[in-house]
Amino acid sequence: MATSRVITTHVIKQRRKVSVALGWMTGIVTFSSVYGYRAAYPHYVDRLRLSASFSHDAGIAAVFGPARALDTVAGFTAFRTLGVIPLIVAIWAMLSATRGLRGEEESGRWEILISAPITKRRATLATIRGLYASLMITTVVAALLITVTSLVSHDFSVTSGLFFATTLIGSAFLFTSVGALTSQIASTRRLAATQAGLVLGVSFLLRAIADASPDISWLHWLSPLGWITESAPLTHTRWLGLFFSLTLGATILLTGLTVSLSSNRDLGASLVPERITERNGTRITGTLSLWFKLQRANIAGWMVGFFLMSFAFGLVAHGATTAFGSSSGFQKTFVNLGISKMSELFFGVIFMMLTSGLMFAAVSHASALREQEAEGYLDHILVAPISRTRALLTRIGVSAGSLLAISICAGIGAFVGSSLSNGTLSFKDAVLAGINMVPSALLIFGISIAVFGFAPRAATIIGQSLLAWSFLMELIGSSLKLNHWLLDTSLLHHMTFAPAADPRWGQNTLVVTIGIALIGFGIFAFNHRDTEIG
Amino acid sequence: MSIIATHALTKRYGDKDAVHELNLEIEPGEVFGFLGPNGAGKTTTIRLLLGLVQPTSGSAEIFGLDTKKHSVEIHKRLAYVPGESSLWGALTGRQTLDLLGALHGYVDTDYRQDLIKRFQLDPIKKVRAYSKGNRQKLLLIAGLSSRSEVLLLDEPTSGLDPLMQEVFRSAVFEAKKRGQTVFLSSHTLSEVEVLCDRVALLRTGELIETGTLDQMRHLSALTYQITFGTEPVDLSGVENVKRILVEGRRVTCEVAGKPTALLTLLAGVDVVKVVSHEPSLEEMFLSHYGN
Repeated sequence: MATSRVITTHVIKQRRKVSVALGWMTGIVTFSSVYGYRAAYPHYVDRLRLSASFSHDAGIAAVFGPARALDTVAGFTAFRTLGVIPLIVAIWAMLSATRGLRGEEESGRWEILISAPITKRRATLATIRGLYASLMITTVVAALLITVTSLVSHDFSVTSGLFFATTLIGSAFLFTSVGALTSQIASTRRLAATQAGLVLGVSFLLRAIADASPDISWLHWLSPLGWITESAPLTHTRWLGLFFSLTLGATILLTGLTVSLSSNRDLGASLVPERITERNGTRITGTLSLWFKLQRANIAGWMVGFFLMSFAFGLVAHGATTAFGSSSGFQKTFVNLGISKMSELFFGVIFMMLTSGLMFAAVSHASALREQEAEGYLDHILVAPISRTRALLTRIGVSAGSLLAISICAGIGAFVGSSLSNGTLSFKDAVLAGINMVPSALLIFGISIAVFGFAPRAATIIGQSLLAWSFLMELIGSSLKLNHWLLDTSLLHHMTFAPAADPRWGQNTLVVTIGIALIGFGIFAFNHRDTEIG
Repeated sequence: MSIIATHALTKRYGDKDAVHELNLEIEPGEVFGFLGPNGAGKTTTIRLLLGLVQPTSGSAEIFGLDTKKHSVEIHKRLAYVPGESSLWGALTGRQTLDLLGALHGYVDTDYRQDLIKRFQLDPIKKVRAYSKGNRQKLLLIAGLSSRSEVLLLDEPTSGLDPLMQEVFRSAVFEAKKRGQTVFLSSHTLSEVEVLCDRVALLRTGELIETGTLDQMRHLSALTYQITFGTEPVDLSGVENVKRILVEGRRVTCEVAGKPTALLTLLAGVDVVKVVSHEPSLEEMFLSHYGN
């Protein structure tokens, strides 16, 4: 097999599971939107009320995109998915590209690759081809599921569904090429991801401003995410040719630039050289300062991200709550869920969503610990006169502290956003709603650490699978009216909708206790097993 | 009393013993060489001594303490230098040295500064900017400057140039002078030959020989180089003669045991020159593992 084909196949193999999972997620979110809307808004009058509430809310348009034809299933489905799914897939695509190119170069594996009978240009191209092929897998899986949804529900045509699937994933191809390009510019994977993230952030901002202010809607054309809004899949389905030409053209242009840069620079070098010396760096005096130094950028990123997200949601909360309240279906459901403050309903839903994000952060911390062991970093600590319990506890302490800090940032963000838009959310309720997310995150963290203790290689996959399962149950459980035994298996199902409902601190204490017990078990098991490198 | 001792130490992975019933005794102040081909079980033995992996059976002791039960106590008095290791790329060399020193609990800062100079390391650089050799220097400086009673060195000079290997050797001599015990696993046989008081040879997890180099040479075959005046005679089948190599009129062979039969044969033929010497460590290594 030709070397370039080997590289492409390798890149696809490494990503195929996530590619398929993202396709599934896209399809399932679409499916649940269709059936969730039908269940929540069974009467046309409810749908009209929803449409009226959302249509003129600039804040909601900024966050989710324009609310078009919300009195139809297709309109609601487009509204619910187009603002979020392309963003999620684009983030993954961007990270995947920077990991596959700059990450491989940083680790030294790229050097081995280049020593094979292949030029740098061809190796880069083969890797990018693999990245695009992975996204094609996502597109095909999503298109299949959306086609099935279309055939079963008859709410939109198969052709519209296929265009919809392509627009949902399409911008990720472009952001792959952005990640590939920043991998040539930056000297480290982290820096390349940050630069690509900035491009994505600016694209989102331009799209949000254009959606919030119809007078300057031409700004859409400056953002790949805005091109999706302009093409209006499922509702108007227009500018098909232009959407594809722009996305494809920009992708090809950036890919060409990337390939050209990769062949014209030294291996390991970058257009913007890294500062490799640090005369007055912080003194690292122990495990705690080490873990903090290694994690601080990551923790700061999560804190800022959660603050901005909840702040943005805080700005639109008032309008969104009114819209939710207009659904008799939703009202019935929320009363059953023990919601006492209907004015904070939207925040209840948002904090539930943010909990999934916090749980993801918790699983990432357990994965990072495993990575430290697998790569041999942990050995330096374990050969010091420090017990394994202490070594692990400091790392776990940093993780738990960061989860708490992130949750508080989310609460403060929601309060500030709400205050600026004359909302009623109090500071105390907002912060407590943030802290209410921590027990679920600690529980999944405890499970991951417990698995790390006795089967380290399975820690990440078990944590991620459990999170995906919980998310799926929450997403489709109520729409499909699944058995409560099944719903109970979701780690999110036991949460209250704070701040719309009061947090159940007794139950939270129990969940935290279980999480801590699981962490204790993980540490015990780690103390009695061999360290596993590789 | 031995400072390091293993008693029928065994580590099994699946159905294969990585280390099989290993018995070692290392005396205080000794520089002990630990040799073996790749996959012989050297690194597994060191990881067992460090308590990073646990024995399937048997036991190991350092300072008379069981490595499985008292690893923290042992680590206070021991330093470990791995041959290949990941170091945190985001830290500078100085931060790494500070961290490893702080973790260990004691650093001779003057000596560390001296070693930084001798190894010509630039500590303000980030670790990710270091070459493999410089990363190895960092680990060596951290290990040696801890002045620990026992130094466990696993392929410590991999990636170092000959000049830096010389600096390493002088540092080991200094450690020996101070009474530190050095357990040195290495593939650089010349280094082991120069530094080590005793050597152990390991093959597929089993100890095949241990002793001083002189003892081992005595037990090992002598190498003979015979230059014939005419066509060389066939030495195969001659008692105690093995590993025969014929190059024109010159024959090189090993004699394990008494050379009487060989010398009797040579007395009757036209021999120009006979050179005999004790095997170098490299020759012993090849003789043990060559097959």
